[in-house]
Amino acid sequence: MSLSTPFLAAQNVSQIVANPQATQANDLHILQDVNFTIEAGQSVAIVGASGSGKTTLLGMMAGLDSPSHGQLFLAHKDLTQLDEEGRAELRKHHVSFIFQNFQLLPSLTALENIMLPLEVKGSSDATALAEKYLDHVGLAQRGHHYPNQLSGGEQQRVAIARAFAAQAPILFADEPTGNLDTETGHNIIELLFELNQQHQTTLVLVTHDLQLAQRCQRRLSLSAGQLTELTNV
Amino acid sequence: MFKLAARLAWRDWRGGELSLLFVALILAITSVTSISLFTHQVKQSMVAQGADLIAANLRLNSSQPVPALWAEQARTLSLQQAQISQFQAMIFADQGMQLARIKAVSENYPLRGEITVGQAAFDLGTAIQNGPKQGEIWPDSRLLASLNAALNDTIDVGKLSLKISQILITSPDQASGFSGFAPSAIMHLSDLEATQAVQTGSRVTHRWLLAGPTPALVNLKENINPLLTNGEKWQSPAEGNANMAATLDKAEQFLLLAGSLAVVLAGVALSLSARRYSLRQAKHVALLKCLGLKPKQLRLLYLSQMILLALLALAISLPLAWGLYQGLLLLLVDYIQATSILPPLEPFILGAGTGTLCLLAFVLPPMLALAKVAPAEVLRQSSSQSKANIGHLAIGFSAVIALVYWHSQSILISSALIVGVIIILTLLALLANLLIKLGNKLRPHLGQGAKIGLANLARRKNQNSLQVAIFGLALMLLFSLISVRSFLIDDWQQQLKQDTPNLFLFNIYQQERDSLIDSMEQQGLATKALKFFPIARARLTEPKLEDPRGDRELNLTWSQALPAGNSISAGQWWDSTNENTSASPLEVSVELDYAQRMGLTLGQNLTFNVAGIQHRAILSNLRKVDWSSMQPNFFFVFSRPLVEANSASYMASVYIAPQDRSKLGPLLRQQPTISMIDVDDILQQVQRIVAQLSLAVESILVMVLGAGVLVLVASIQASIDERRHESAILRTLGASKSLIRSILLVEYASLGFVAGLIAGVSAEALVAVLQNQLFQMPLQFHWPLWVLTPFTGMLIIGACGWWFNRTVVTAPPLRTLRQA
Ligand SMILES: Nc1ncnc2c1ncn2[C@@H]1O[C@H](COP(=O)(O)OP(=O)(O)O)[C@@H](O)[C@H]1O
Ligand SMILES: [Mg+2]
Repeated sequence: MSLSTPFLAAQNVSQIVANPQATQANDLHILQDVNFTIEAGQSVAIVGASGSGKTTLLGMMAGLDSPSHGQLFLAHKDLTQLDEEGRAELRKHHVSFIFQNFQLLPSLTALENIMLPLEVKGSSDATALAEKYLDHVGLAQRGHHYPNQLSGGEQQRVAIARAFAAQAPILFADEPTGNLDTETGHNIIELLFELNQQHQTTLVLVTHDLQLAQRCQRRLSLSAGQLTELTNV
Repeated sequence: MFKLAARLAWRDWRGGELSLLFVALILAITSVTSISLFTHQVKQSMVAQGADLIAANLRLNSSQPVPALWAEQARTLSLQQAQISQFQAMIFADQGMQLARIKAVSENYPLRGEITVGQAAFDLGTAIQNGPKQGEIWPDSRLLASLNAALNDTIDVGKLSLKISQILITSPDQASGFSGFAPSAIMHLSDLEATQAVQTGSRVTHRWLLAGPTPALVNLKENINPLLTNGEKWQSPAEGNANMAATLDKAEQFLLLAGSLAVVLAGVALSLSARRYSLRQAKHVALLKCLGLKPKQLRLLYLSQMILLALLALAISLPLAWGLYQGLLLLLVDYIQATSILPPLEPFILGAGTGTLCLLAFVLPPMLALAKVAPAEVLRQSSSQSKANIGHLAIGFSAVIALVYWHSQSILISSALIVGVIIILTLLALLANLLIKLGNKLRPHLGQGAKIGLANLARRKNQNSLQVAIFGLALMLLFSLISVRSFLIDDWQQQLKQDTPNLFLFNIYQQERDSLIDSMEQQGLATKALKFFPIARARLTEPKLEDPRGDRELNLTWSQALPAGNSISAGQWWDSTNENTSASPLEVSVELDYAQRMGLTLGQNLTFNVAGIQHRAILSNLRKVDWSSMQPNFFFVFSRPLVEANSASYMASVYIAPQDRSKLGPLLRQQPTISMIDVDDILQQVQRIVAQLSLAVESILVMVLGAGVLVLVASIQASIDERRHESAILRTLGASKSLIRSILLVEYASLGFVAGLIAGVSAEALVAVLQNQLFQMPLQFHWPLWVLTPFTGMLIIGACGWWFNRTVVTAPPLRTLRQA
């Protein structure tokens, strides 16, 4: 909206979860005072050890969760000022997400899983578009298979196709190549950056893959709940 | 949005997600609708049977003929009508004369039921639809015998000669209790004036018979009610016959109860599958939210999905219920008379209402709550376990109780069910913990399978408690229904006994007792079942009763032992071993209802006038009498004789087999002073109806049992996903098939045991309430229930659990894990 608000940013964001078994002293500080700003069209990699809070941060940036403290901006809007309805509206038009654990619906075929975001948006040619993206990830022949009939890597590719199909300006990807072999992983990465280039998509991804992190314009490192910008690797 | 809902619903359907919910919904609607249809039909049939007993749907008894204005009103309402004038008159034949009770009937008599007539006294008789024509008279066997007349003879009623064109064997409204002392006959109403037998001042009872649709009858009744005078009284079929009314009433209560249980079971099945569905939908919801669906849209989405589902289920279940009901009628065609082709609407509304309301109450709350699932859920391995939400359960439970009340219109049934459920929950809380603790203690001493099984039980305490509650609830309902059915049928069987007396003999004096037995033996009649009761006519003179009925002369008896089929409800029966000499005070036992009506209390002194002599007796106990038994029952029973032995009169009850009935004519000629009441016809009517009702009860029981089993299946299915996953993991860890089998068996069998135990105890409580309050029967303990139910529960649930989990054991673990 107003250009004074950043496109995608965190200001003093903390995330504290109560330890289910103990008193306040034992509260888990997943994120502490995280700050960053990302411009539209940038590609950013978030790296960090397992359990360092990468997924948590990514989810909050996408408006899937709210921070305990601090402010978050998504598409120039202050997420913390919005209710669930408002955040849903924002996600619908601006965000697509690739989940670490795929989150394909088991009762839907691969093709239908890809069609889902298009249908939610009310797109009229959902099937054709979904088939196109399925082809992009090299699974044209497997459209009518159910998730439990696909390997982990194949499921991941379907999840990626679904994210592409949403055609959102901001793409969040949580370890998108974690389950893929080098060859397929490479192809998928090409696809991601092609999209970033062609449509000026903003790309925020979490990865362990150094090669992938290198290709991003910026790299942020998360450890002990603190975020730091890496200038070189 | 509706399109998206339909598309998503279709995919869920295809994936089997919705099928269990759908099956439960169909089950709910079908079972409630068909049971209700059947109940409706049985009730109609019972009303029709009852109508036979008064030859009409409604009857007005009066001392005046029906005013023309009222008859006109009935005509405009298109009601059928007939009139009877009943009086006593002397009848003269060539060879005798006899005081008889005469019924002069109009053209349409009887409106309901049939008259049976024969060619000779005590014939078996054939049914006909109409009464005698003008100029004819149909005497009954008793009258014919005492007049020494035969078919085609002419006899005189007052100044008119009438021809005997048939012998009356039975008429539908012939007997209401023991009023029919005198021999009787029926003739045509238009002959009445010519007889001149009815003069002003002579006692005539006028009966106005009406038949037609209930609304019209009610309408007429309401119009006329304000105009009724003191002596005019409506009589409905149920009031026609006390013991029939009691039986019909019990049957109706049973049907309503069974229907209510079907409603509860349907509700439980729906709530289970709804829970499972909503748990599995959690992931869908989180993802859809992530894709930008707003909570409002999600609610709309699920609401429209549920509406779609309900419509589809209705389209299938209602015709299905209709078919099922038709099948049942076809099976029972000899027993239940179908009264109308057009099905009543209420059962369909009730069934559809039950299904939709249960769906709304059980499915919507968790689904709407799903809209609140945080979208962040998608980031983690979704927790497919949510705790049972007490609020949601309370909504569902209230809906079920409301439905039960809607169905039964009985506060008693509804509250008895609430009590049952509360008992179950309390016991559950106590027992589940106790047993799991016990299991923990036992564990070190058990085999490996049992060890893991018991550990699983303890680990899933909350979930298991819910499951035990559901098993327990279903079992409780089934056990209760079975035991209610048993005591009802037992009770009715008493009336079906072969040698229930069907003939009552009066005016037998001491010296005639032996000669009666002799005569019977001479005629080849069995005397084994012959029972004598001493009788005296008496009037209660002190205290003066306010109720005018208390002033009547009554039959009373005396006995040392409590009469069979009676029970003491207050005070004590006198010591029967003790010689009751005239030195001991005279005691009297009074029938409970009569005492309450007349305001007599225990310990009160009562004075009776017996043949001019005053007797003072102390009211020492109140007696409950089973009016549905066909035994002679007395309001007053005394502790010792009130009349000297040689001047006492007796009444006798005896059973006469159908093939021996022709011997009654000669017997009565040999014993001319004895009068008799033949209740064989009523008895047969009762037996026929009881046989029908027993069958109806059994059929309903089978239907409800079916519903109960489906609930058990649904509840096992509800927990199957998790168990499947665990078993698969155990197998990848190297557990053998037999180990997993024994784990499952131990888990389910112990759940079944606990559920059965709880069910047994709570069924006992529920049955006690129902038996005592609803059916007005004495309390009984069913100790076998307590022993049997835990093992029955163990067996049923163990077997079901094993059967539905058998694929877990045989399917390759990888496949199971992939599906998780
Ligand atoms: N809802 C929660 N409750 C408790 N702990 C949580 C919750 N969400 C995340 N965590 C913890 O926060 C830490 C960061 O999790 P996550 O963001 O998934 O890490 P990763 O960097 O591996 O993606 C982990 O230690 C995880 O256990
Ligand atoms: Mg992660």
